[in-house]
Amino acid sequence: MQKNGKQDFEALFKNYHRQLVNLAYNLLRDKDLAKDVVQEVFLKLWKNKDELHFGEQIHHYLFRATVHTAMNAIRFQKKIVRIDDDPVIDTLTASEHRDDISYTELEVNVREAIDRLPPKCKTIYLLSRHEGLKYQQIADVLELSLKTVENQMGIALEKLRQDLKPFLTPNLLVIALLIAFVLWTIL
Amino acid sequence: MSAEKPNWHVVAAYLAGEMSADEKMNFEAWIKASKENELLFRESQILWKNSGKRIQLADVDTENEWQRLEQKMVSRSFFHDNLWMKVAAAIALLAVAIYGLIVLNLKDDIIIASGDHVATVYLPDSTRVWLNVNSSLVYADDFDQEHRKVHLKGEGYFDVRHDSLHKFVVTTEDASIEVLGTAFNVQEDSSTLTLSVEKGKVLLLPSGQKKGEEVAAQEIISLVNNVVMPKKKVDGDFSIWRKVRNPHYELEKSQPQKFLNVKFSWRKNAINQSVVEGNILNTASLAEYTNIDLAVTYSNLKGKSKTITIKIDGKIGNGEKLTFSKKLFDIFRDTQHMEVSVRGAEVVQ
Repeated sequence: MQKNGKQDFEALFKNYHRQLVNLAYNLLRDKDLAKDVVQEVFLKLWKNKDELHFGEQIHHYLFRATVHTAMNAIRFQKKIVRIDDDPVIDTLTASEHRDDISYTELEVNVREAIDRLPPKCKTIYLLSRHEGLKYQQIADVLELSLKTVENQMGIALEKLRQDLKPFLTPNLLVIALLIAFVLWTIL
Repeated sequence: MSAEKPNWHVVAAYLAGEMSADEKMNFEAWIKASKENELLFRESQILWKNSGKRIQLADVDTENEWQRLEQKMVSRSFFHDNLWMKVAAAIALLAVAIYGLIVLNLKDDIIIASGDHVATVYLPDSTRVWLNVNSSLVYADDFDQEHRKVHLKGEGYFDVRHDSLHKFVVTTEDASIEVLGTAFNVQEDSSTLTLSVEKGKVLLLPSGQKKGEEVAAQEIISLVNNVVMPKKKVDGDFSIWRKVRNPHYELEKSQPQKFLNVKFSWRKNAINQSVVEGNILNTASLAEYTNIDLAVTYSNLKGKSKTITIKIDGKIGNGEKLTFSKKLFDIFRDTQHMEVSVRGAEVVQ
Protein backbone atom coordinates (compact mmCIF):
# COMPACT_ATOMS: atom_id res chain seq x y z
CA MET A 1 0.00 0.00 0.00
CA GLN A 2 2.95 2.31 0.60
CA LYS A 3 3.28 3.61 -2.92
CA ASN A 4 -0.39 3.49 -3.66
CA GLY A 5 -2.33 6.68 -3.55
CA LYS A 6 -5.89 7.63 -3.00
CA GLN A 7 -6.95 6.56 -6.48
CA ASP A 8 -5.76 3.01 -5.88
CA PHE A 9 -7.46 3.03 -2.52
CA GLU A 10 -10.71 4.19 -4.11
CA ALA A 11 -10.45 1.43 -6.70
CA LEU A 12 -9.81 -1.10 -3.95
CA PHE A 13 -12.82 0.17 -2.00
CA LYS A 14 -15.12 0.05 -5.00
CA ASN A 15 -13.88 -3.39 -5.95
CA TYR A 16 -14.56 -4.99 -2.59
CA HIS A 17 -17.31 -2.85 -1.08
CA ARG A 18 -20.35 -4.83 -2.24
CA GLN A 19 -18.78 -8.17 -1.37
CA LEU A 20 -17.78 -7.06 2.13
CA VAL A 21 -21.09 -5.33 2.92
CA ASN A 22 -22.90 -8.50 1.92
CA LEU A 23 -20.55 -10.58 4.06
CA ALA A 24 -21.14 -8.31 7.07
CA TYR A 25 -24.88 -8.15 6.35
CA ASN A 26 -25.20 -11.93 6.37
CA LEU A 27 -23.49 -12.03 9.76
CA LEU A 28 -25.33 -9.06 11.28
CA ARG A 29 -28.65 -8.82 9.39
CA ASP A 30 -28.53 -5.03 9.77
CA LYS A 31 -27.83 -3.07 6.60
CA ASP A 32 -26.64 0.16 8.25
CA LEU A 33 -24.49 -1.69 10.72
CA ALA A 34 -22.97 -3.76 7.91
CA LYS A 35 -22.06 -0.58 6.03
CA ASP A 36 -20.56 0.95 9.18
CA VAL A 37 -18.49 -2.16 9.72
CA VAL A 38 -17.04 -1.94 6.22
CA GLN A 39 -16.36 1.78 6.72
CA GLU A 40 -14.36 0.93 9.85
CA VAL A 41 -12.38 -1.73 8.02
CA PHE A 42 -11.35 0.60 5.21
CA LEU A 43 -10.70 3.56 7.51
CA LYS A 44 -8.34 1.42 9.55
CA LEU A 45 -6.67 0.23 6.37
CA TRP A 46 -6.23 3.83 5.22
CA LYS A 47 -4.81 4.90 8.58
CA ASN A 48 -2.25 2.12 8.45
CA LYS A 49 -1.58 2.19 4.74
CA ASP A 50 2.10 3.03 5.19
CA GLU A 51 2.75 0.12 7.49
CA LEU A 52 0.77 -2.56 5.70
CA HIS A 53 2.07 -4.50 2.73
CA PHE A 54 -0.46 -6.98 1.49
CA GLY A 55 -0.01 -7.36 -2.22
CA GLU A 56 -2.14 -10.27 -3.33
CA GLN A 57 -3.17 -10.97 0.26
CA ILE A 58 -5.37 -7.88 0.51
CA HIS A 59 -8.49 -9.98 -0.09
CA HIS A 60 -7.70 -12.12 2.94
CA TYR A 61 -7.01 -9.07 5.08
CA LEU A 62 -10.29 -7.39 4.13
CA PHE A 63 -12.28 -10.58 4.61
CA ARG A 64 -10.73 -11.26 8.00
CA ALA A 65 -11.02 -7.63 9.17
CA THR A 66 -14.69 -7.50 8.15
CA VAL A 67 -15.51 -10.69 10.04
CA HIS A 68 -13.61 -9.44 13.11
CA THR A 69 -15.21 -6.01 13.07
CA ALA A 70 -18.64 -7.58 12.60
CA MET A 71 -18.03 -9.85 15.59
CA ASN A 72 -16.95 -6.82 17.65
CA ALA A 73 -20.08 -5.01 16.53
CA ILE A 74 -22.20 -7.92 17.77
CA ARG A 75 -20.48 -7.72 21.17
CA PHE A 76 -20.96 -3.94 21.26
CA GLN A 77 -24.60 -4.25 20.25
CA LYS A 78 -25.17 -6.44 23.29
CA LYS A 79 -23.94 -3.71 25.61
CA ILE A 80 -26.10 -0.88 24.35
CA VAL A 81 -29.84 -0.60 24.08
CA ARG A 82 -30.63 -0.33 20.40
CA ILE A 83 -33.40 2.14 20.12
CA ASP A 84 -33.53 3.42 16.59
CA ASP A 85 -33.49 0.31 14.47
CA ASP A 86 -36.49 -1.64 13.41
CA PRO A 87 -36.34 -4.87 15.40
CA VAL A 88 -38.24 -6.80 12.79
CA ILE A 89 -35.89 -9.15 11.02
CA ASP A 90 -35.87 -8.67 7.28
CA THR A 91 -37.14 -11.56 5.33
CA LEU A 92 -35.45 -12.93 2.31
CA THR A 93 -38.33 -11.84 0.18
CA ALA A 94 -38.00 -8.17 1.12
CA SER A 95 -37.43 -5.76 -1.73
CA GLU A 96 -33.99 -4.73 -0.55
CA HIS A 97 -32.61 -8.05 -1.66
CA ARG A 98 -31.49 -8.92 -5.13
CA ASP A 99 -34.31 -10.15 -7.22
CA ASP A 100 -32.13 -12.45 -9.27
CA ILE A 101 -32.00 -14.90 -6.38
CA SER A 102 -35.16 -16.71 -5.39
CA TYR A 103 -35.70 -18.58 -2.16
CA THR A 104 -37.93 -21.52 -1.41
CA GLU A 105 -40.10 -21.45 1.69
CA LEU A 106 -37.78 -23.93 3.36
CA GLU A 107 -34.74 -21.78 2.55
CA VAL A 108 -36.45 -18.79 4.15
CA ASN A 109 -37.23 -20.83 7.26
CA VAL A 110 -33.69 -22.18 7.43
CA ARG A 111 -32.26 -18.67 7.08
CA GLU A 112 -34.45 -17.39 9.90
CA ALA A 113 -33.36 -20.30 12.07
CA ILE A 114 -29.70 -19.52 11.30
CA ASP A 115 -30.30 -15.95 12.46
CA ARG A 116 -31.58 -17.33 15.76
CA LEU A 117 -28.33 -19.19 16.43
CA PRO A 118 -25.92 -17.74 19.00
CA PRO A 119 -23.61 -15.19 17.27
CA LYS A 120 -20.40 -17.23 17.34
CA CYS A 121 -22.18 -20.39 16.25
CA LYS A 122 -23.93 -18.53 13.44
CA THR A 123 -20.72 -16.90 12.22
CA ILE A 124 -18.88 -20.22 12.11
CA TYR A 125 -21.75 -21.93 10.29
CA LEU A 126 -22.04 -19.15 7.71
CA LEU A 127 -18.30 -18.98 7.11
CA SER A 128 -18.39 -22.68 6.36
CA ARG A 129 -21.62 -22.79 4.40
CA HIS A 130 -21.57 -19.44 2.57
CA GLU A 131 -17.91 -18.63 2.24
CA GLY A 132 -16.79 -22.21 1.74
CA LEU A 133 -14.05 -21.95 4.35
CA LYS A 134 -12.45 -25.10 5.70
CA TYR A 135 -12.58 -25.62 9.47
CA GLN A 136 -8.90 -24.70 9.85
CA GLN A 137 -9.43 -21.46 7.91
CA ILE A 138 -12.41 -20.56 10.11
CA ALA A 139 -10.31 -21.25 13.20
CA ASP A 140 -7.58 -18.94 11.85
CA VAL A 141 -9.94 -16.13 10.91
CA LEU A 142 -11.78 -16.17 14.24
CA GLU A 143 -8.69 -17.04 16.28
CA LEU A 144 -10.34 -20.13 17.75
CA SER A 145 -9.20 -23.70 18.17
CA LEU A 146 -10.06 -26.26 15.52
CA LYS A 147 -11.98 -28.22 18.17
CA THR A 148 -14.19 -25.21 18.94
CA VAL A 149 -15.05 -24.83 15.27
CA GLU A 150 -15.93 -28.53 14.99
CA ASN A 151 -18.11 -28.41 18.09
CA GLN A 152 -19.85 -25.18 17.08
CA MET A 153 -20.67 -26.63 13.66
CA GLY A 154 -22.27 -29.60 15.40
CA ILE A 155 -24.20 -27.33 17.75
CA ALA A 156 -25.42 -25.26 14.79
CA LEU A 157 -26.68 -28.32 12.94
CA GLU A 158 -28.36 -29.74 16.04
CA LYS A 159 -30.12 -26.47 16.87
CA LEU A 160 -31.24 -25.98 13.28
CA ARG A 161 -32.73 -29.47 13.20
CA GLN A 162 -34.54 -28.93 16.49
CA ASP A 163 -35.82 -25.59 15.31
CA LEU A 164 -36.94 -26.82 11.89
CA LYS A 165 -38.15 -30.30 12.76
CA PRO A 166 -41.75 -29.60 11.63
CA PHE A 167 -40.50 -28.55 8.19
CA LEU A 168 -38.22 -31.55 7.72
CA THR A 169 -40.47 -34.45 8.63
CA PRO A 170 -43.82 -34.73 6.92
CA ASN A 171 -46.61 -34.61 9.42
CA LEU A 172 -47.82 -38.19 9.92
CA LEU A 173 -51.32 -37.04 10.68
CA VAL A 174 -51.51 -35.15 7.39
CA ILE A 175 -50.22 -38.21 5.52
CA ALA A 176 -52.77 -40.46 7.24
CA LEU A 177 -55.57 -38.06 6.34
CA LEU A 178 -54.39 -37.90 2.75
CA ILE A 179 -54.33 -41.71 2.49
CA ALA A 180 -57.78 -41.88 4.06
CA PHE A 181 -59.06 -39.28 1.59
CA VAL A 182 -57.59 -41.17 -1.41
CA LEU A 183 -59.06 -44.47 -0.21
CA TRP A 184 -62.43 -42.85 0.40
CA THR A 185 -62.55 -41.39 -3.14
CA ILE A 186 -61.51 -44.74 -4.71
CA LEU A 187 -63.92 -46.87 -2.77
CA MET B 1 -21.58 -43.00 17.21
CA SER B 2 -24.71 -44.42 18.82
CA ALA B 3 -28.13 -44.29 17.24
CA GLU B 4 -29.74 -42.80 20.34
CA LYS B 5 -27.61 -39.72 20.63
CA PRO B 6 -25.91 -38.66 17.42
CA ASN B 7 -22.63 -36.76 17.43
CA TRP B 8 -23.73 -33.72 15.55
CA HIS B 9 -20.22 -32.45 14.95
CA VAL B 10 -19.52 -35.68 13.07
CA VAL B 11 -22.60 -35.20 10.88
CA ALA B 12 -21.53 -31.59 10.25
CA ALA B 13 -17.97 -32.66 9.44
CA TYR B 14 -19.28 -35.16 6.89
CA LEU B 15 -21.51 -32.59 5.20
CA ALA B 16 -18.73 -29.99 5.23
CA GLY B 17 -16.29 -32.38 3.61
CA GLU B 18 -13.99 -32.35 6.62
CA MET B 19 -13.51 -36.12 6.90
CA SER B 20 -10.79 -38.44 5.77
CA ALA B 21 -11.67 -41.40 3.52
CA ASP B 22 -11.70 -43.80 6.50
CA GLU B 23 -13.87 -41.52 8.58
CA LYS B 24 -16.28 -41.18 5.67
CA MET B 25 -16.56 -44.93 5.33
CA ASN B 26 -17.28 -45.33 9.04
CA PHE B 27 -19.88 -42.59 8.95
CA GLU B 28 -21.62 -44.05 5.89
CA ALA B 29 -21.76 -47.38 7.68
CA TRP B 30 -23.36 -45.63 10.64
CA ILE B 31 -26.00 -44.12 8.33
CA LYS B 32 -26.93 -47.54 7.02
CA ALA B 33 -27.01 -49.07 10.50
CA SER B 34 -30.60 -48.02 11.22
CA LYS B 35 -33.65 -46.25 9.81
CA GLU B 36 -33.31 -43.60 12.53
CA ASN B 37 -29.74 -42.85 11.54
CA GLU B 38 -30.77 -42.60 7.91
CA LEU B 39 -33.63 -40.24 8.71
CA LEU B 40 -31.43 -38.07 10.87
CA PHE B 41 -28.83 -37.84 8.14
CA ARG B 42 -31.41 -37.08 5.44
CA GLU B 43 -32.86 -34.26 7.54
CA SER B 44 -29.40 -32.85 8.17
CA GLN B 45 -28.66 -33.05 4.48
CA ILE B 46 -31.85 -31.13 3.67
CA LEU B 47 -30.84 -28.43 6.15
CA TRP B 48 -27.37 -28.27 4.71
CA LYS B 49 -28.61 -27.96 1.13
CA ASN B 50 -31.14 -25.28 2.03
CA SER B 51 -28.73 -23.06 3.90
CA GLY B 52 -26.29 -22.35 1.11
CA LYS B 53 -27.65 -19.14 -0.37
CA ARG B 54 -26.22 -15.84 0.79
CA ILE B 55 -28.50 -12.84 1.04
CA GLN B 56 -27.33 -10.32 -1.52
CA LEU B 57 -28.36 -6.73 -0.93
CA ALA B 58 -29.66 -5.07 -4.06
CA ASP B 59 -28.14 -1.69 -3.34
CA VAL B 60 -25.15 -1.15 -1.09
CA ASP B 61 -24.63 2.52 -2.08
CA THR B 62 -20.97 2.07 -2.94
CA GLU B 63 -20.65 5.57 -4.38
CA ASN B 64 -22.17 7.29 -1.34
CA GLU B 65 -20.26 5.06 1.02
CA TRP B 66 -17.02 6.00 -0.73
CA GLN B 67 -17.84 9.69 -0.24
CA ARG B 68 -18.57 9.03 3.42
CA LEU B 69 -15.25 7.27 3.84
CA GLU B 70 -13.44 9.98 1.92
CA GLN B 71 -14.68 12.60 4.39
CA LYS B 72 -13.25 10.59 7.25
CA MET B 73 -9.97 10.11 5.41
CA VAL B 74 -9.39 13.75 4.48
CA SER B 75 -8.18 14.96 7.83
CA ARG B 76 -5.63 12.16 8.05
CA SER B 77 -4.24 12.06 4.54
CA PHE B 78 -3.09 15.67 4.57
CA PHE B 79 -0.66 14.96 7.34
CA HIS B 80 0.13 11.38 6.46
CA ASP B 81 1.32 12.09 2.94
CA ASN B 82 3.91 14.63 3.87
CA LEU B 83 6.70 14.11 6.37
CA TRP B 84 7.42 17.84 6.66
CA MET B 85 3.77 18.51 7.28
CA LYS B 86 3.87 15.95 10.05
CA VAL B 87 6.83 17.68 11.65
CA ALA B 88 5.32 21.13 11.18
CA ALA B 89 1.98 19.96 12.52
CA ALA B 90 3.64 18.34 15.53
CA ILE B 91 5.55 21.53 16.32
CA ALA B 92 2.46 23.65 15.81
CA LEU B 93 0.38 21.38 18.02
CA LEU B 94 3.03 21.39 20.70
CA ALA B 95 3.25 25.16 20.58
CA VAL B 96 -0.52 25.54 20.79
CA ALA B 97 -0.74 23.03 23.61
CA ILE B 98 1.96 24.77 25.64
CA TYR B 99 0.41 28.16 24.94
CA GLY B 100 -3.00 26.89 25.91
CA LEU B 101 -1.89 25.08 29.02
CA ILE B 102 0.58 27.56 30.43
CA VAL B 103 -0.55 30.94 29.21
CA LEU B 104 -4.28 30.75 28.72
CA ASN B 105 -5.25 27.49 30.40
CA LEU B 106 -7.76 26.95 27.55
CA LYS B 107 -10.63 24.49 27.83
CA ASP B 108 -10.97 21.89 25.06
CA ASP B 109 -14.51 22.90 24.17
CA ILE B 110 -16.05 24.30 21.04
CA ILE B 111 -18.93 26.64 21.73
CA ILE B 112 -21.47 27.69 19.12
CA ALA B 113 -23.92 30.42 20.08
CA SER B 114 -26.71 31.42 17.73
CA GLY B 115 -27.27 34.99 18.95
CA ASP B 116 -30.32 36.60 17.35
CA HIS B 117 -30.43 34.36 14.25
CA VAL B 118 -31.13 30.69 13.73
CA ALA B 119 -27.80 28.95 13.13
CA THR B 120 -27.22 25.87 10.97
CA VAL B 121 -24.31 23.84 12.28
CA TYR B 122 -22.54 20.76 10.94
CA LEU B 123 -20.79 18.63 13.52
CA PRO B 124 -17.63 16.67 12.65
CA ASP B 125 -19.64 13.46 12.11
CA SER B 126 -21.92 15.22 9.56
CA THR B 127 -24.78 15.52 12.04
CA ARG B 128 -26.77 18.66 11.27
CA VAL B 129 -28.05 20.92 14.02
CA TRP B 130 -30.29 23.97 13.83
CA LEU B 131 -29.91 26.24 16.85
CA ASN B 132 -32.82 28.52 17.67
CA VAL B 133 -32.08 32.13 18.62
CA ASN B 134 -30.31 32.68 21.93
CA SER B 135 -29.25 29.05 22.14
CA SER B 136 -25.84 27.45 22.36
CA LEU B 137 -24.18 24.15 21.67
CA VAL B 138 -20.97 22.95 23.27
CA TYR B 139 -18.88 19.95 22.29
CA ALA B 140 -15.36 18.81 23.03
CA ASP B 141 -12.79 19.38 20.34
CA ASP B 142 -12.12 15.63 20.34
CA PHE B 143 -15.70 15.10 19.18
CA ASP B 144 -15.37 12.32 16.65
CA GLN B 145 -16.96 9.09 15.60
CA GLU B 146 -16.38 7.59 19.03
CA HIS B 147 -17.29 10.51 21.27
CA ARG B 148 -20.48 11.96 19.88
CA LYS B 149 -21.59 14.11 22.80
CA VAL B 150 -22.91 17.68 22.81
CA HIS B 151 -24.36 19.97 25.46
CA LEU B 152 -27.37 22.13 24.57
CA LYS B 153 -28.73 25.29 26.11
CA GLY B 154 -31.96 26.67 24.65
CA GLU B 155 -33.54 24.95 21.65
CA GLY B 156 -32.03 22.80 18.94
CA TYR B 157 -33.19 20.49 16.18
CA PHE B 158 -30.87 17.54 15.57
CA ASP B 159 -30.64 15.50 12.39
CA VAL B 160 -28.20 12.90 13.63
CA ARG B 161 -25.92 11.07 11.20
CA HIS B 162 -26.65 7.39 11.58
CA ASP B 163 -23.78 5.41 13.04
CA SER B 164 -24.81 2.10 14.54
CA LEU B 165 -21.55 1.70 16.39
CA HIS B 166 -21.40 5.06 18.14
CA LYS B 167 -24.36 6.60 19.91
CA PHE B 168 -24.98 10.32 19.88
CA VAL B 169 -25.76 12.00 23.21
CA VAL B 170 -27.31 15.42 23.83
CA THR B 171 -27.05 16.63 27.42
CA THR B 172 -28.99 19.52 28.93
CA GLU B 173 -29.23 20.81 32.48
CA ASP B 174 -32.02 18.37 33.29
CA ALA B 175 -31.51 15.29 31.14
CA SER B 176 -29.57 13.48 28.50
CA ILE B 177 -30.94 12.15 25.23
CA GLU B 178 -29.35 9.15 23.52
CA VAL B 179 -29.73 8.15 19.90
CA LEU B 180 -27.89 6.36 17.13
CA GLY B 181 -29.34 8.24 14.19
CA THR B 182 -32.61 10.12 13.98
CA ALA B 183 -34.17 13.61 13.95
CA PHE B 184 -35.62 15.36 16.97
CA ASN B 185 -36.12 18.72 18.62
CA VAL B 186 -35.08 19.68 22.15
CA GLN B 187 -36.33 22.82 23.88
CA GLU B 188 -35.36 23.70 27.42
CA ASP B 189 -36.04 26.63 29.67
CA SER B 190 -35.54 27.10 33.40
CA SER B 191 -37.81 24.27 34.55
CA THR B 192 -39.12 22.46 31.48
CA LEU B 193 -37.51 20.36 28.80
CA THR B 194 -39.59 19.41 25.76
CA LEU B 195 -38.44 16.65 23.44
CA SER B 196 -40.23 16.15 20.10
CA VAL B 197 -39.19 13.30 17.81
CA GLU B 198 -39.63 13.52 14.06
CA LYS B 199 -38.21 10.16 13.01
CA GLY B 200 -36.53 7.18 14.66
CA LYS B 201 -36.57 6.69 18.42
CA VAL B 202 -34.67 8.40 21.20
CA LEU B 203 -34.11 7.68 24.87
CA LEU B 204 -34.69 10.45 27.41
CA LEU B 205 -32.70 10.02 30.61
CA PRO B 206 -33.61 12.58 33.32
CA SER B 207 -30.62 13.66 35.43
CA GLY B 208 -29.93 11.33 38.33
CA GLN B 209 -32.27 8.63 37.04
CA LYS B 210 -31.12 5.29 35.71
CA LYS B 211 -34.27 4.38 33.83
CA GLY B 212 -34.98 6.26 30.64
CA GLU B 213 -38.13 6.97 28.70
CA GLU B 214 -38.24 5.86 25.09
CA VAL B 215 -39.82 8.38 22.74
CA ALA B 216 -40.88 7.29 19.25
CA ALA B 217 -41.40 9.21 16.03
CA GLN B 218 -44.17 11.81 16.14
CA GLU B 219 -44.26 11.74 19.93
CA ILE B 220 -43.63 14.62 22.30
CA ILE B 221 -42.61 14.41 25.95
CA SER B 222 -41.94 17.00 28.64
CA LEU B 223 -39.76 16.97 31.71
CA VAL B 224 -41.02 19.47 34.28
CA ASN B 225 -38.84 19.98 37.35
CA ASN B 226 -37.20 16.63 36.63
CA VAL B 227 -40.58 14.85 36.49
CA VAL B 228 -41.45 13.04 33.26
CA MET B 229 -44.89 14.00 31.94
CA PRO B 230 -47.02 11.56 29.87
CA LYS B 231 -46.13 11.30 26.19
CA LYS B 232 -48.41 12.90 23.62
CA LYS B 233 -48.74 12.79 19.85
CA VAL B 234 -47.05 15.65 18.04
CA ASP B 235 -49.54 18.33 17.10
CA GLY B 236 -48.35 20.80 14.46
CA ASP B 237 -44.87 21.53 13.16
CA PHE B 238 -42.58 21.77 16.19
CA SER B 239 -39.57 22.73 14.10
CA ILE B 240 -41.09 25.60 12.12
CA TRP B 241 -38.85 27.98 14.05
CA ARG B 242 -35.95 26.80 11.88
CA LYS B 243 -37.35 28.89 9.01
CA VAL B 244 -37.63 32.12 10.95
CA ARG B 245 -34.71 34.55 11.23
CA ASN B 246 -32.52 31.98 9.52
CA PRO B 247 -30.09 33.59 7.06
CA HIS B 248 -29.21 30.24 5.52
CA TYR B 249 -32.86 29.49 4.75
CA GLU B 250 -33.24 32.99 3.27
CA LEU B 251 -30.36 32.16 0.93
CA GLU B 252 -32.00 28.87 -0.02
CA LYS B 253 -35.19 30.77 -0.86
CA SER B 254 -33.55 33.56 -2.84
CA GLN B 255 -30.96 31.52 -4.73
CA PRO B 256 -32.38 28.07 -5.56
CA GLN B 257 -29.76 27.68 -8.31
CA LYS B 258 -27.12 27.23 -5.63
CA PHE B 259 -28.96 24.36 -4.00
CA LEU B 260 -30.37 22.51 -6.99
CA ASN B 261 -27.68 20.39 -8.63
CA VAL B 262 -28.41 19.15 -12.12
CA LYS B 263 -26.89 16.06 -13.72
CA PHE B 264 -27.84 15.16 -17.25
CA SER B 265 -26.94 13.21 -20.35
CA TRP B 266 -28.14 13.55 -23.91
CA ARG B 267 -28.25 11.50 -27.08
CA LYS B 268 -29.75 11.57 -30.53
CA ASN B 269 -32.56 9.07 -31.02
CA ALA B 270 -33.52 7.10 -34.14
CA ILE B 271 -35.12 10.14 -35.79
CA ASN B 272 -32.16 12.44 -35.01
CA GLN B 273 -33.98 14.08 -32.14
CA SER B 274 -31.97 15.04 -29.03
CA VAL B 275 -33.20 13.40 -25.83
CA VAL B 276 -32.06 15.07 -22.61
CA GLU B 277 -32.38 13.02 -19.44
CA GLY B 278 -31.16 13.71 -15.96
CA ASN B 279 -31.96 14.45 -12.38
CA ILE B 280 -32.04 17.39 -9.99
CA LEU B 281 -30.75 16.96 -6.45
CA ASN B 282 -31.97 19.31 -3.73
CA THR B 283 -29.00 20.01 -1.46
CA ALA B 284 -30.79 22.69 0.60
CA SER B 285 -31.07 22.04 4.31
CA LEU B 286 -34.66 23.22 4.71
CA ALA B 287 -36.14 24.54 1.47
CA GLU B 288 -38.35 22.31 -0.64
CA TYR B 289 -38.67 23.41 -4.25
CA THR B 290 -41.33 23.17 -6.92
CA ASN B 291 -42.03 24.67 -10.38
CA ILE B 292 -38.39 24.42 -11.36
CA ASP B 293 -37.37 26.12 -14.59
CA LEU B 294 -34.52 24.40 -16.38
CA ALA B 295 -32.69 26.24 -19.17
CA VAL B 296 -31.56 23.86 -21.89
CA THR B 297 -29.05 25.37 -24.30
CA TYR B 298 -27.96 23.37 -27.30
CA SER B 299 -25.55 24.42 -30.03
CA ASN B 300 -24.27 23.09 -33.33
CA LEU B 301 -20.74 22.83 -34.71
CA LYS B 302 -20.72 26.48 -35.79
CA GLY B 303 -21.53 27.50 -32.24
CA LYS B 304 -25.05 28.65 -33.07
CA SER B 305 -27.06 28.03 -29.96
CA LYS B 306 -30.69 27.93 -28.92
CA THR B 307 -32.15 27.94 -25.42
CA ILE B 308 -35.48 26.52 -24.34
CA THR B 309 -37.04 26.29 -20.89
CA ILE B 310 -38.37 23.10 -19.35
CA LYS B 311 -40.84 23.52 -16.53
CA ILE B 312 -40.83 20.81 -13.87
CA ASP B 313 -43.78 21.03 -11.55
CA GLY B 314 -42.90 18.17 -9.16
CA LYS B 315 -41.81 18.83 -5.59
CA ILE B 316 -38.28 18.07 -4.33
CA GLY B 317 -37.68 17.74 -0.59
CA ASN B 318 -34.31 18.07 1.12
CA GLY B 319 -31.82 15.53 -0.13
CA GLU B 320 -34.30 14.22 -2.72
CA LYS B 321 -33.84 13.75 -6.44
CA LEU B 322 -36.27 14.45 -9.25
CA THR B 323 -35.74 12.97 -12.68
CA PHE B 324 -36.56 14.67 -15.95
CA SER B 325 -36.57 13.79 -19.62
CA LYS B 326 -37.19 16.01 -22.63
CA LYS B 327 -37.13 15.54 -26.39
CA LEU B 328 -35.95 18.60 -28.31
CA PHE B 329 -37.17 19.80 -31.72
CA ASP B 330 -33.75 19.65 -33.31
CA ILE B 331 -34.24 16.93 -35.90
CA PHE B 332 -32.67 19.06 -38.60
CA ARG B 333 -29.82 20.42 -36.44
CA ASP B 334 -26.44 18.81 -35.93
CA THR B 335 -26.50 19.45 -32.19
CA GLN B 336 -23.01 19.02 -30.78
CA HIS B 337 -23.18 20.55 -27.35
CA MET B 338 -25.78 20.74 -24.60
CA GLU B 339 -25.99 22.62 -21.32
CA VAL B 340 -28.69 22.36 -18.65
CA SER B 341 -28.96 24.73 -15.71
CA VAL B 342 -31.54 25.85 -13.16
CA ARG B 343 -33.07 29.14 -14.10
CA GLY B 344 -35.40 29.47 -11.16
CA ALA B 345 -37.64 27.64 -8.72
CA GLU B 346 -40.35 28.31 -6.17
CA VAL B 347 -40.03 27.41 -2.53
CA VAL B 348 -42.84 25.33 -1.08
CA GLN B 349 -44.26 27.32 1.81
